[in-house]
Amino acid sequence: MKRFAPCLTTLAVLAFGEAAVAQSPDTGKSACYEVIPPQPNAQPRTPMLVDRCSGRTWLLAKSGRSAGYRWVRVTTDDTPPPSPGAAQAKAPPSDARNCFTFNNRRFCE
Amino acid sequence: MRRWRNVLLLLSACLFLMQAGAALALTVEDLHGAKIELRVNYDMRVRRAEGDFSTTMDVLWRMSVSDGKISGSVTRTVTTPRGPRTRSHQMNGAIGQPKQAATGSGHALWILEGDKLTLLRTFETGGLKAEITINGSSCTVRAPLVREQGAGNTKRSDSVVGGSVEVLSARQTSGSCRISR
Repeated sequence: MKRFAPCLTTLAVLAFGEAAVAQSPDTGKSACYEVIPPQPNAQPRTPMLVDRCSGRTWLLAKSGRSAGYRWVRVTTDDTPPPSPGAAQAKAPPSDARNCFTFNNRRFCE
Repeated sequence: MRRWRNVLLLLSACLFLMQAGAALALTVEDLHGAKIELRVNYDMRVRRAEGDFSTTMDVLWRMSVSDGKISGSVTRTVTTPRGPRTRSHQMNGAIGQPKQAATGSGHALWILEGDKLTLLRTFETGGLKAEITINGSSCTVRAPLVREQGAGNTKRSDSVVGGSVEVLSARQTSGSCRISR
């Protein structure tokens, strides 16, 4: 049940909106999330989940290995500047070309 | 009106997720106490100081997961004209925390996302991406060597027989995965 918590929380926030947020300051993080339905004249034609607090975005995609769906994180090409002595990584590891960026180095299958 | 449309949309998504147990996101808690054994075989063409060779490599990962930390060993066995050679080393890391690799140069990072536990490992040049897809008590592994863009062939300084090796080509020929608790 715990794994559905973000989903259900988002659902509750969407359903009860400002009232829920106003009643409980702890729901601030949940209020960050917004589901954006597919737009008629824009690609991709799939719902988007946006965390407006962090900028992270997910697309609802069909799972390749089963009949289910899952949220797939959208990555960007901009890599954070390296901090001295620390490895930098971007998640998730792959994009459409099965590439990933790690420590400002780009790798592809 | 728009809000209720969004609610219905998300409700549908939740129902999809609930039905598709295999596609649910794994959590660190799900993996706590898991023991994972991977064996991956490759057909390779490599270049060493003595020349170019065709070889096979068998890589055996044995690891356990506890509180988001992964520890275990990696054993590589390659065929050579003088018979098989083996090299093992211990490994450890924490999911989501990049670190210097245990051997050679490069870094390693474990990522848990969706139904996959993924190891990204960089070498001197190029790297490895090991994707473990976990579905309850079963798993599969796919671990291709990956090329580094603009850097030429994959090179690692900690070859099984010692010294550096350049990988001209590598193809995974088999992979097996076992998970137990």
